[in-house]
Amino acid sequence: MIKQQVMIPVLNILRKTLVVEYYRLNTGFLFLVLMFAFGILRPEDHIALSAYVFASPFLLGLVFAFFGLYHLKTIFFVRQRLLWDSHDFLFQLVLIPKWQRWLALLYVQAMLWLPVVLYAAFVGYYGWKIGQQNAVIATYSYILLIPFTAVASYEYRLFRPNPDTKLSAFSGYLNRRFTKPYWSYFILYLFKDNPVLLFLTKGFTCFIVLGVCKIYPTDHYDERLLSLGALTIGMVHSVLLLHLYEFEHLQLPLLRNLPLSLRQRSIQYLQLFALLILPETLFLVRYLPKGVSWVYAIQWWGFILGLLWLIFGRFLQRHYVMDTLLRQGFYAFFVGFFLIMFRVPTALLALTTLLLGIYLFHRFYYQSEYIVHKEGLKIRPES
Amino acid sequence: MLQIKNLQKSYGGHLVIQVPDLVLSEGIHWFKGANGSGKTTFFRTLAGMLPFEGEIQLVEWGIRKQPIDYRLHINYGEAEPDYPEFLTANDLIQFVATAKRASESQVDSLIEMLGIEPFLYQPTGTYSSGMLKKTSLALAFLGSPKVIILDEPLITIDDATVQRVYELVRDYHAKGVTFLLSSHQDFRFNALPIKQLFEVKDKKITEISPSAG
Repeated sequence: MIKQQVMIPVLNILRKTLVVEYYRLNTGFLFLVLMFAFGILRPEDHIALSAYVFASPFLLGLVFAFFGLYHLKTIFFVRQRLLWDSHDFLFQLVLIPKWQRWLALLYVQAMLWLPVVLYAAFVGYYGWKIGQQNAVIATYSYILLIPFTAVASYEYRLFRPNPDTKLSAFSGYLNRRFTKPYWSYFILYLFKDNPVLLFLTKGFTCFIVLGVCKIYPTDHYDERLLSLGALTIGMVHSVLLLHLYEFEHLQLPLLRNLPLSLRQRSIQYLQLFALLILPETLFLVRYLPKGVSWVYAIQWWGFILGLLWLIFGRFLQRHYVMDTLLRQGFYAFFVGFFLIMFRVPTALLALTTLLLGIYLFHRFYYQSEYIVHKEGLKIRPES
Repeated sequence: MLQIKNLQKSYGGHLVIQVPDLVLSEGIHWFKGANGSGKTTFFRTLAGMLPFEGEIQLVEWGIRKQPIDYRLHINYGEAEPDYPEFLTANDLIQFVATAKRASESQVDSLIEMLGIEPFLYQPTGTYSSGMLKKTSLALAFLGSPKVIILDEPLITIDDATVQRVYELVRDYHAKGVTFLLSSHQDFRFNALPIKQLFEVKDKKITEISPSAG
């Protein structure tokens, strides 16, 4: 009875500080995954796909790797939160008995891991029915055992707060030898503070390029399929662009005090956006289907670039939080979807989004301000 | 030097500061006010970092009509600076120095004067609050500004650095640079020839006599 009385407040605190916060901050990400996973593929497609995956150890390994990335994302989130000053009180967890602490941490990880568990249960049920019991058992074992590695990782952090930041001699040499250019700031920020988001986004968007390019010759699709891919890639980048908007407002407010013309600033953003979509561009160049012209490929690239400008311009025009972004992204995707399906030329879409985005940038750059208290969104480094 | 007319700054419809008419002539001006009185918001607005209603003009440059010239001649040092943790002081100084058209010799002299050299190539994520403050002060003095705004310039730095900041302010002031300083501690700017003293209170800025400070 007493133990139960201890556990309930602990679980409540962990739920409010970690679980609810995780889902609140990742609503956009999870919604996009849901939209593209179940909006494009029907449930029967998932079942058919799972039949292929359960039958192939290689594909199953790939799926495990994707799940593993998501697992890392959740671990990264919790460990970062433990570095926040406002979450120092969570270190009191070391005072409760070990088995209770492990149970509490397991509860946190199980809640964060829930989307994967539910999806695996859904496809696993059908995998079992078609006789792939071994593959299903392997999947369920993986799904059930991997959260324990997260618990061990949280336990490690709880007993080793305030990790030292070690500087390698190599990074010291680079810092002395080179000055980082402005366009690299955001990319470095993503690598340093949000590597999982970066790799998940890039993995997903490159997979889309590969998918639409490979599927292209097998069916009677036209260039609209590639354009839909471009639209999806642009929309998926919304989360990264929200990070860019937050990063510049919270960590580089001095940018708006610098005597740079809007043209100079536009060029800097153009360099950054081109760099951001470099992986997708390289994938398109490598896998461009026969019969698709290079002129179209340039329009395709311009369309993604235009979408990035437009989304970033909208952030400048109006201070977005993830919930609003979600709703707007949903509407924007469907507007784009119908425009493409009604054969509006990609060149026109590229030009319109580019012009509109650059207009919003020029109109609202100095009008934009971040009104949420910065401490609430401060990113602390992972050791 | 600096003319402010009908300035209104609100956050989400909530008025933070209102300045109907204020002219700041050349010299050193001290803005006093309790925490949360709106000093930082006022300073950031003058530095062109926040949107606002009204007009601000620096010499002949309007903040909206000549945004580049305006920003070239007004610098700002944050009260509690916070930079991306992977950037070094050198990265930040070189970036701002290029934008503010500062000479290499000025960069070297500020680095030496403020004692930044020992941590110049370390990422700011490893800095103490004093090291961050020194970096932000160096950034605020770069280029050829007409106005330098220093928000709580003396907090978190050691006494030796405080003396160097006084020295820098006096040097730049002798060259015709106007300073807008803030501090909620009364005694801290006695070493400087303060021209005007203002109180930021109840969303207003009022000039008060030096004896009241």
